[in-house]
Amino acid sequence: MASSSTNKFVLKSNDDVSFEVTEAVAREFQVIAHIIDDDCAKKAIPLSNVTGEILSKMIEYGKKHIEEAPVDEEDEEGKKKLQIWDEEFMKQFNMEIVFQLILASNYLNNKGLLDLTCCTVADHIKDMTPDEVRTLFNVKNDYTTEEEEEIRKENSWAFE
Amino acid sequence: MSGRIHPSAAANGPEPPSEKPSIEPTSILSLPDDLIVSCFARVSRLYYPTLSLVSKRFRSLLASPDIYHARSLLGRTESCLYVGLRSPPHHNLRWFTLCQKPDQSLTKKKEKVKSSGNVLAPVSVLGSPSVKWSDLFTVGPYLYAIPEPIEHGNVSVLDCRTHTWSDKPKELIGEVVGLDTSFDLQCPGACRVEDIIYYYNCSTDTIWTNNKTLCWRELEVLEGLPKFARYTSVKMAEYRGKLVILWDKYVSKNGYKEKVIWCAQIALKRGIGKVIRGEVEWLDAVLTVPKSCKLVCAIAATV
Repeated sequence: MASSSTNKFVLKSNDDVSFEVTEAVAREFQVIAHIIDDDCAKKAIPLSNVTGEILSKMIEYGKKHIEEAPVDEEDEEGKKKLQIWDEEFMKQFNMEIVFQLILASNYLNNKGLLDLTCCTVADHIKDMTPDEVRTLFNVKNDYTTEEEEEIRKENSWAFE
Repeated sequence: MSGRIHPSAAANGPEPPSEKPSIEPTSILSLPDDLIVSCFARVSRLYYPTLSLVSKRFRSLLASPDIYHARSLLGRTESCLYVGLRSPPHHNLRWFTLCQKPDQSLTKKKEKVKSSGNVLAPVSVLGSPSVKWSDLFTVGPYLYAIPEPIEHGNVSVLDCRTHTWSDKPKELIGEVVGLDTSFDLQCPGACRVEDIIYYYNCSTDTIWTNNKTLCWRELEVLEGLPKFARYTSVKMAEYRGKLVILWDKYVSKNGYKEKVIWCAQIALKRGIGKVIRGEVEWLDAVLTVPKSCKLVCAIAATV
């Protein structure tokens, strides 16, 4: 424990921003943990798929989850506190950042952040019309009028 | 709250470039399939028909088996209500599933009472049971149609993820069939929510409850549920720990050529003694059908 809180590693984003983090925080990202275990982490660890902006947010998340980790499985209060922090944390991002966080947490393999970001997308989808979903998620409607009509007709018993 | 936390941007490296590298505006479609599926799997299936209208890739991903695999891995499976209607002259049932209405905001104004937004959407089911069945039950995502008589033929199984029927020799699923359905089968049309059996008696227009004793008691529904006429077809099912009741009602306009399928969701509370109280949580017209259509069954599967 002492070594993982004093050992420092430098993570380097694809736009050349470096972040010094403790080993414990670095190990929050499984891909980096493997690099450390393989003893390949002598110098800065380059992360070719993550920008500095995204990496700084991921480190913020990782640090918080190290510092405030629930004591054990039964620590309901600790879990709840962290969950509230997670929700607040996600509120600051627009969808574009959320998508980049999904990609980056998948790439660096942080299950918690991947879960949180995917849930954020899922929560937004609820109670929206198809048009609202297209706007929020930047999706072009690639149905022709006829095709859309056809799909709605398939559902005609329900949606008329 | 997050203000307390500072990104640990140690200035070890060069300063960040003053201009951000130009990034294409990210669409959800720039994510690989497995990550989009991972997002969709966390959405209730009630919204899938709406989401399918967004784009072609949405539609194909929502129809893929991967999504059900992901839902299961993520522990996001949920109970979905299936309703079977027979529309003569067709012998086979047409299947519908309860979901949220797309473009819901368009209809909000018309409703006097707050609409639940629930509707029945048709599902296209491949194949159909090859035998006449006497009863249905579900285990997980599978809907089993018990042949009548049971000694004959295969058991037809509908996979509610792929909406495909297949036949299984009854010996193969003997253990499943042997589940504790014996009590329910004594009164067809009964359904079970937790340990209580519910049964609708059309001649008295009452719902009876029974916790496996010989004593039947009337379900007390305080308000909201209409009186059913004797010719009304009433079906009940357990749905997400609650009782749903479906019934049909003729529409007077257009000379009674159509009927409306109504659905009510009832939360069940145990009162003093063995009395069960029902509280109507929502009640909506969920489907309009030609009057010849018959409400045949309602059952929930977990997908």
